[in-house]
Amino acid sequence: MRGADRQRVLDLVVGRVVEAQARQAGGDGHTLERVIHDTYYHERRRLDAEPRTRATQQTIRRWQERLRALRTAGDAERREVLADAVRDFADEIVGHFDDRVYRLATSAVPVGLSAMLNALSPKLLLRGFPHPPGIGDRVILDGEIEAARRLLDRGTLVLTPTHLSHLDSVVVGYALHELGFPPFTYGAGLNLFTNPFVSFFMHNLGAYRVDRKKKADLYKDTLKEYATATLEFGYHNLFFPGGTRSRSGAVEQHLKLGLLGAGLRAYVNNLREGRTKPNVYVVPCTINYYLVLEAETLIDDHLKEAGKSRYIIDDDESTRPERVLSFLRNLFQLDARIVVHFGAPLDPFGNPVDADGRSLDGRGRPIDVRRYTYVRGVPAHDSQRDVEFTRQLGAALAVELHRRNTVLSTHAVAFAAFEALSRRHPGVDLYRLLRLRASERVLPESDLLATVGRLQGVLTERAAAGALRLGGRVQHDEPQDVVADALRHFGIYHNRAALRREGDRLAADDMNLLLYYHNRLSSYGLEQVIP
Amino acid sequence: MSAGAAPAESRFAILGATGLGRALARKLARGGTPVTLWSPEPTAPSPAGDPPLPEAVEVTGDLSLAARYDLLVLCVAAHAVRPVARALGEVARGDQVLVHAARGLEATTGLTVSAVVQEESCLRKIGVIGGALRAGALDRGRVVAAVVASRFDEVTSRVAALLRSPSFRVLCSQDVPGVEIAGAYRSIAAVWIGVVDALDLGPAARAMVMTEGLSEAARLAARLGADPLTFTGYAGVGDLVATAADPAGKEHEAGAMLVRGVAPGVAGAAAVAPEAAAAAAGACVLAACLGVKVPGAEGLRRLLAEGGDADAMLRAVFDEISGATR
Repeated sequence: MRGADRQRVLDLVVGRVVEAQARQAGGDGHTLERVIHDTYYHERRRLDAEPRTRATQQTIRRWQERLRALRTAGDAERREVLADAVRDFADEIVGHFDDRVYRLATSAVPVGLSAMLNALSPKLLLRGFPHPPGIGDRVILDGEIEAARRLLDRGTLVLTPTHLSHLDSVVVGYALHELGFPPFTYGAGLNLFTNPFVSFFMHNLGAYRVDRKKKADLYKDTLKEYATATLEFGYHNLFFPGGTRSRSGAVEQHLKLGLLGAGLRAYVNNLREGRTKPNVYVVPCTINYYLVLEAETLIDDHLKEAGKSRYIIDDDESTRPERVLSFLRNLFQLDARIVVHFGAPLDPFGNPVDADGRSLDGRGRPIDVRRYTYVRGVPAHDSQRDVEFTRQLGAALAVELHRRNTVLSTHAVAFAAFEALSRRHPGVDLYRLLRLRASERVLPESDLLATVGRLQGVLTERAAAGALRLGGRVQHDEPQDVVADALRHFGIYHNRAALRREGDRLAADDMNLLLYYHNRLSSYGLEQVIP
Repeated sequence: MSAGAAPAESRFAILGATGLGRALARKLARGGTPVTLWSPEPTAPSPAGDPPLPEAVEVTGDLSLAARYDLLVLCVAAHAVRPVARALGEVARGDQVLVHAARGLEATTGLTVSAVVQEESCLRKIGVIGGALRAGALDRGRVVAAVVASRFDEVTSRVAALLRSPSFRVLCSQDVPGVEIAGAYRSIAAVWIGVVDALDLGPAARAMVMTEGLSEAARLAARLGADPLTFTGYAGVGDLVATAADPAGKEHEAGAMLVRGVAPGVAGAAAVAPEAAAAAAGACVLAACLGVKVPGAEGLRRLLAEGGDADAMLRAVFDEISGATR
């Protein structure tokens, strides 16, 4: 958020949230009071669970002052108390954008990251002399990039990547810079702002704060309205539509629609305000890694009954520098790639759009999507209608993310191995399968090669039909090369290998990890392919 | 009131001069509602035994003329929806509301009718009319009822406002796939009831084909995100009870033809009840995609497409039902 827009956006957000609450209350002051008390209840629970610091005590005092003011408040005062609470939320959320910091970061980060990566791999540094490989050699950018670029001039973009790792933000940020796109604003978890150095960059590069521990509806409304306002002000946004990192490793299927709906709200507001570029475009994007930095913690969390309560993980591999360095070293030593693939852009209703930004129906005919927003002939909000349109957008986006998912050797081999092991133990449920004895977690190499070959055949057919994408090796290499490539990756970074060679057999040392990488292909109905 | 007098906002059009489309047009016109009826053959004489349309019904063969209104009621059989939806897609607007009254699935894809309409047009505010809504009952002035389902409240409220009267009860739902699959299976079950009656197998066999129909429908629809309770309601059990109680109609006749061993073809049972044939074929395609067993639909699909011994096929279906683990 540039300084010039900051106050205008804040005022807009506070005004709209308070107005919406007042409208819902319908003039009933007690309803507004309930909203305030409900927000206090959630905030107090959150604050009581946190260490008592000066900041938390100050927040509690502010809430107590608000409650005192409510005792004698009339309608106008109630609105003021509500506005005060919303303003506090909005002040915390609002991001800042500083061109100087952006220039510094974009010029320094790729160089610095490349230097660090090359230092980790001297052999690679020498191999590329006098032009050592940079991060650009590690990240493959492809897909509908030009379509997205053209739309930058025609409206505001919402980039919606799949989410596997905390590295995703860095990777996407690099990708956008490399492509010459303007910076995108995005919501980052409050935990990422705890490190002062990282916080400085995040704060000045347009990231806004999202505190997932805040459960009050009023906070969520403020967050959505903030995202909506940034879109209206022309700030391109980045939303992770899964809401959080995929715990299972699967491609996101059930998307969080709350923030996604901000695109439609902004579009309706733009139409109502008669803005010259009202359009909002949703750009699907998939990010795929051979190995995922936090895979062990994420799959563990997925499998635990307590997974939901650990929604905010603050002790995973991404918080341990030695693991991050080990991961990056692996990335370079193995010539591993991160694949960032842009999908076909959609409008806020889930329709595809053409190169000129026009929405198309299922037959490719241009349609006037303004009419979807009409109530008695003029653009207007209708919350029930808009929830349904956003659900349809979510469904279209999920399909596009699946179609644009890039299958790498680690995914294909893990899928084949895990399914083959489950066939060897019929009737065994998932949790018993994960706890097989070491002697039961082995497959003859020849069997796995045959299974991988069969899977490659089906994957090639599916890829030809546009159901998914294949990484180079899975598409072109012989099964033994695909397996060898996957084993090279599995053997380097993780504490225990998902799969390793043991004579003429392959052994799964870590069944959880094998499941995690298998899951990248779990929603394509490929299970029946495995004999 | 003349057909052109009402403002566009209050007008609606019925697309398709099927028995139900014509009966709805008569019912609404009798109540003073201006009606536009699109028919691909607007000058064709009324079918034998079908009451004439009142003068207040404007009949047109120009789809673009009918499709200018903001509420469209699609009364086209499921197997014929796609070409009409495609033509409609040329003139449709995003703010229009459309409900359909088809009772089948697309045979080749297994898609529901609302999905076909969405594929072929920009229309999104789509709903379905289900339940035991029969043309004959509308014409005879009996109490009728229908379920209107849509994910959009605007659709259910506007269609309910159009149809609702003391003799026309309207129930609203959000379960579009549930009501659509229930309608398709009503067509399938109606043919099986015809088979059972022609074989004179009695009420237990009737109950078997009806409950198997409900069970298959609920299993399939649940995989599409439908609420299984929809099948215990008016669009599910209600429609089947009405079908069993008044077993006339094309599907019942098709069931009897299967027992008589009339060969498949232009004069066969599938030609007599094309919507049931499309429902059975579509249910099989859908079931294969979703990994659901549908012995009732599969048996009927094979009988209608390939012919064969209806008695033996029914017994094979019963064997599978009674042997299957639920």
